[in-house]
Amino acid sequence: MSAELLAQFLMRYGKDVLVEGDLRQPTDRFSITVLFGPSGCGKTTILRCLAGLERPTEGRIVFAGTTWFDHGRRVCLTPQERGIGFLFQEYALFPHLSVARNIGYGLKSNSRSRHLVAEIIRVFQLTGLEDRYPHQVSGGEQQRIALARVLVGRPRLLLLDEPLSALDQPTRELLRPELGRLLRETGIPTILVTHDRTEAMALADQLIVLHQGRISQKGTVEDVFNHPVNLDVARIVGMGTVAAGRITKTAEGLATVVLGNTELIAPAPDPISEHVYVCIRPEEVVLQKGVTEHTSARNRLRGVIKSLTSEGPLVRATLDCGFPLIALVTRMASEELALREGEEVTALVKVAGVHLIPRP
Amino acid sequence: MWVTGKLAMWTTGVLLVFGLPLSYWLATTRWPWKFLVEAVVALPLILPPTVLGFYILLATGTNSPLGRAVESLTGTRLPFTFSGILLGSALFNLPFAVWPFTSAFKAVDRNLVEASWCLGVSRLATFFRLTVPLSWPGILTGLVLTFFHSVGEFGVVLMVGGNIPGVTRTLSIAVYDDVQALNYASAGQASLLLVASSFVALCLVYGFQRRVLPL
Repeated sequence: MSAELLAQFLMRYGKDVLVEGDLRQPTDRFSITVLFGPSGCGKTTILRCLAGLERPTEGRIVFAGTTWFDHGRRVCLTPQERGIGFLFQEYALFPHLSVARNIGYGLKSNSRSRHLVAEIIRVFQLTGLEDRYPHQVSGGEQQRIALARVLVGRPRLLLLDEPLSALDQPTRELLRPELGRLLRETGIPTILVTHDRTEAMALADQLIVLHQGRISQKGTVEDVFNHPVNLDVARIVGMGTVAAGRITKTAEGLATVVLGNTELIAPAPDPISEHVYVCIRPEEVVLQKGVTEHTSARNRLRGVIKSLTSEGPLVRATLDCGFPLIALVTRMASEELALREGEEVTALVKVAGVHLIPRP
Repeated sequence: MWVTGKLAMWTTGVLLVFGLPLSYWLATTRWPWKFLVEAVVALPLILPPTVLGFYILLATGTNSPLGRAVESLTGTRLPFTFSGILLGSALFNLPFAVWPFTSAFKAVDRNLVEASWCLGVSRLATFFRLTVPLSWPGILTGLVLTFFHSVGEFGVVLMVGGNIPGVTRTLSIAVYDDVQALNYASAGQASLLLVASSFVALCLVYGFQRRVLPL
């Protein structure tokens, strides 16, 4: 019996529309698989098929040796039989029940479950809200209530549909690291759907990029972001530099990050975490030849041009600076500098142009 | 008077038991041919009551298989009995119960129902713990409409039940009889009672729906 979720299925709508689900994930230890892609690419459909809310047209879903769905053998377990926790995009809190009764909704009413509810209310810092109704609490609290309601039943697999998208931007920034911490603490294998790049990077152990219902690429965050297999994936992930780094020191809100044999200075992430992804947008990189005079850019990197590709009026240069760095310059600048592959140049990046995202 | 109240209560009860599942099915099914069922449910609205009554009379008479089956099972006949007018009244009031029920069920957010299933709660328990509490103003509307509409029922009851005092003579039939007999005072009393109670009932329904009256 393999301790693994194995899902391979197809969902057809009419003749042309198709959603493909193909993933595997260990079920005996914690990890987060992120399904990433633009709205309408079929992410939610995959999640609903895993939950048993939607019946795929073909394929199989096996969870730790138990068949959840098998088209050939006509097996399709109900959501109730699968023991999953599904967090809906808008949280789907029951408006006619208090916070405490929402959380305890799926449990049998006995003293043990009352204890469980009280315990999770404490852990999720919802104390004092027990008798309120969902419309009387904030968006962030609603999210925690919904998550508590899902987790109190100890599901074997967590399915989260855009868990942060219903929140306003500042709250989302605030809750993103907290969500990651809560998920890690529960230790339940998680599949998460999002169209938010930062969210995908901050939470994914395994990233699956979807485009028009098809799985375009699977891999680690670094893999997918730096080596998109095709232009569609590159567009979806937003071409740019993503590299894993380690913060060695922080002072006055600035962090020093080590990537390979290079050091960079960047605004410190919140919360501070040792392991980060370093993200640099190609348009933030300035290329220069020869010795640098005075400049305000704190990050000066020596690198070799690996490739030059023309993109209309712009040229995309991939540099090896100890890590792959992508720069976008105008054709005119490229000609003036006479950029050639194999040549050594200096790349300038302002501190504010380096974005650090804590990574798992 | 007593016959009227009894008929209205039984009709409401029957439609609560059979109308709720039918409405839930209509509100949730993806079956493309469900419009056939919807059309049948709505038929009593446009059909003359006498036509519906005529067919019920035919279908339940001693010459029809259904009528004979009922008679051999229960020992009673349907035409010209209370059970007969109850059947007619229930069928005739079907849209008044099913329409409000269905629209109330449709208004319940599908995500809430699915969230309940994913929390391990069965479909039946979800119906009673979630769907019914969230749609009860609509259910109440359907029940009140059914009750008062069957109080005023005339054509079907007359066709199926005839006009037997104490058995099948309802208030509205009594009004008709009184007018025929030029007994205007008695007809006026009964009519006023029907107008007043119907008005109060509709006020309650709208009051609940607009949440002016406390629930």
